[in-house]
Amino acid sequence: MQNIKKKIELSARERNDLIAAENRDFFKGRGIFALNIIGSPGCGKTSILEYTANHFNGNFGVIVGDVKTALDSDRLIQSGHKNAYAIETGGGCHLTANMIKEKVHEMDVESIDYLFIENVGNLVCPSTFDLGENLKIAVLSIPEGDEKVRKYPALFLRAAVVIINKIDLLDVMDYDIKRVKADCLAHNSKVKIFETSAKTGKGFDEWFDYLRDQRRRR
Amino acid sequence: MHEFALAQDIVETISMKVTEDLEKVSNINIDVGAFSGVVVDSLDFGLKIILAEKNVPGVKINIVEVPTIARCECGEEYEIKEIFESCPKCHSFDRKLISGMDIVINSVELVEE
Repeated sequence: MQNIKKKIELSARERNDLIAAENRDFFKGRGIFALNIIGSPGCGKTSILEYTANHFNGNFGVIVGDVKTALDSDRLIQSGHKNAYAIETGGGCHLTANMIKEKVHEMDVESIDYLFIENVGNLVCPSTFDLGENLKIAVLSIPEGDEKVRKYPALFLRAAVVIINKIDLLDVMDYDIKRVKADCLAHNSKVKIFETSAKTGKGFDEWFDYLRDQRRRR
Repeated sequence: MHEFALAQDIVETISMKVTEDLEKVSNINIDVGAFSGVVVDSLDFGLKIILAEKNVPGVKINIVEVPTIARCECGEEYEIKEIFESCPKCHSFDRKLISGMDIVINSVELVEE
């Protein structure tokens, strides 16, 4: 009997990360620019998607993750976006690379330039699971209050973009936007911040230009 | 809540990369980064349940928390305990986090006949 110590030094996320890398190659091979959208329930992720899908029209695919129901993808399909699919996690608090891999094979990927993956509404677990996306995007909204960045560092350390949504409510709520932006920059000094309202359309032109530019760079 | 999923992945990874015979495993040594987003107690709890389920409840789990280290644009490397700690040398937030963001299965100890 002998005791052998095997050094392996593998990430516990190895299984997920390998599939995420496969997804990333798959997207790259087809010229698809993939976004992983993470935010609280009710921050406006689907409204931002809808607004963006309307702009990019046909060449836009959506995967929406929720614990239960396909309400969000149904809503997108009803507004004319056929390439919208739901993942019901049945209790799971985040999407995984494998869920995306399986779902993408059901989609008509040939016509897609952009793939929006709306993660389960949650600021914790989704932040650390790579799905193979090109950009991780955090969505905040004014009614949530201005302390979310400080309270959920794991997401804001990793997000390349922060969208502050429902900006039309800034005048009627006590929300210190300067502080929120400073907090975002303290977590990630390279973060790109957008202020949008899916109700008035404010800030979306800049967001569309950014997406086009980012896709071109890949 | 995602600790249980990670615990499952850890056990699967060990089965695939080290040994399918989990009865040979005596210790699993895991490094958890301070900013990995993982609750150590929950991960430990999840691993114990899964290992018991696999009929190897005797496996010892050692989880070590490793610090998060940032490299500032000025070149200074420093440990971050709180996000709002800027570089001790130049006070900048322009930094890259170079370790302490992940969960790593550091090593597995096996008892061989």
